[in-house]
Amino acid sequence: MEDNAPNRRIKVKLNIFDIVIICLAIAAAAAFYFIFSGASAAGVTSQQSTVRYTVQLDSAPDGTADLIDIGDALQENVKKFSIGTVTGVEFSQGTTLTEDHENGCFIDTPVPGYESIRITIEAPAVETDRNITVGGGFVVRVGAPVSVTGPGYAGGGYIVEIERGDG
Amino acid sequence: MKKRIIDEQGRIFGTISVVDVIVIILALALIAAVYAKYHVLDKTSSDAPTDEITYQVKVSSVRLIATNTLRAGDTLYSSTGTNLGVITNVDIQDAQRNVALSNGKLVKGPVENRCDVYITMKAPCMKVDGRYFVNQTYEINVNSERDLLTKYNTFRGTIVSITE
Repeated sequence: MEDNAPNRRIKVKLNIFDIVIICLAIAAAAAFYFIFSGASAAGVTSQQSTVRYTVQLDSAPDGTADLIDIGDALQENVKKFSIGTVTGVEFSQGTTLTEDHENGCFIDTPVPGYESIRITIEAPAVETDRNITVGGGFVVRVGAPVSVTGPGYAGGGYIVEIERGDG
Repeated sequence: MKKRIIDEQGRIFGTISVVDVIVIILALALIAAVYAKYHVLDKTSSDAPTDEITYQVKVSSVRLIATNTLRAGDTLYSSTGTNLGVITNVDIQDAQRNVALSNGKLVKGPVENRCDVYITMKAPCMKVDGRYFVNQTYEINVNSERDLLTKYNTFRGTIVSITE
């Protein structure tokens, strides 16, 4: 007899009311997530665009800029987002702020053996009224730290400039 | 005959379906969470009047190039996404910081290639027991340091003044 079978399986029968309740529960959970995630700001619309922004790599060893070529595809080093393609490279003497105790000021002091590199990057982006995202997850904002890798090189710095779409 | 806890039809003690129990638990948890958010976690009463206030945030020692994307009319957000009002003015001044001289005295000195930015904001605000709550939930205090965002910028700033 089926009742005495050692591998008796528990049957879960769903009737139409169970299905309706499950659908309501899923809808309620979605509403809960919507309310608590902060994504409920009215009219959050997004659009595809192209963003041009500049990353400044501070304290890169001399010669690093020579490794960077126009057209290089760059990745963000932590989550490996594709953050765009190099469209421009500039470099200058690396500096750091130090205190001048004699004159009572802070000065940008040259750092021997290091250069500061500005990389202009272009990337397809998703733009909302709150942020600009490239590579499926990297949010581009001036002031944001970034760790960049390219073909054969890497560096850390900050986003220092974004070309605003509104002029 | 002893009753099984879950019978062969998936009902607990032969009465209520396991799925129904799960759904009821989820629904109760959701109700509790919504109640907590709107009646326990909220610091302000929705009955308090809302006025527009002006407050100013100072961002210290930033590169001048970083200020190009800060403009009047931009919306400011907290790091958690709360709308903190609209920027009405961006005032850029030469950066200054205290520095110790070799004789031990402290003087305010310039910071080369850096600027201090004073961002003036206008926002709807509730005042409850003398405390200011922008957008009903975000408390602002003079001398508090905050991580703030616009669409194009992220920075840490200090609230330096609040004006009703």
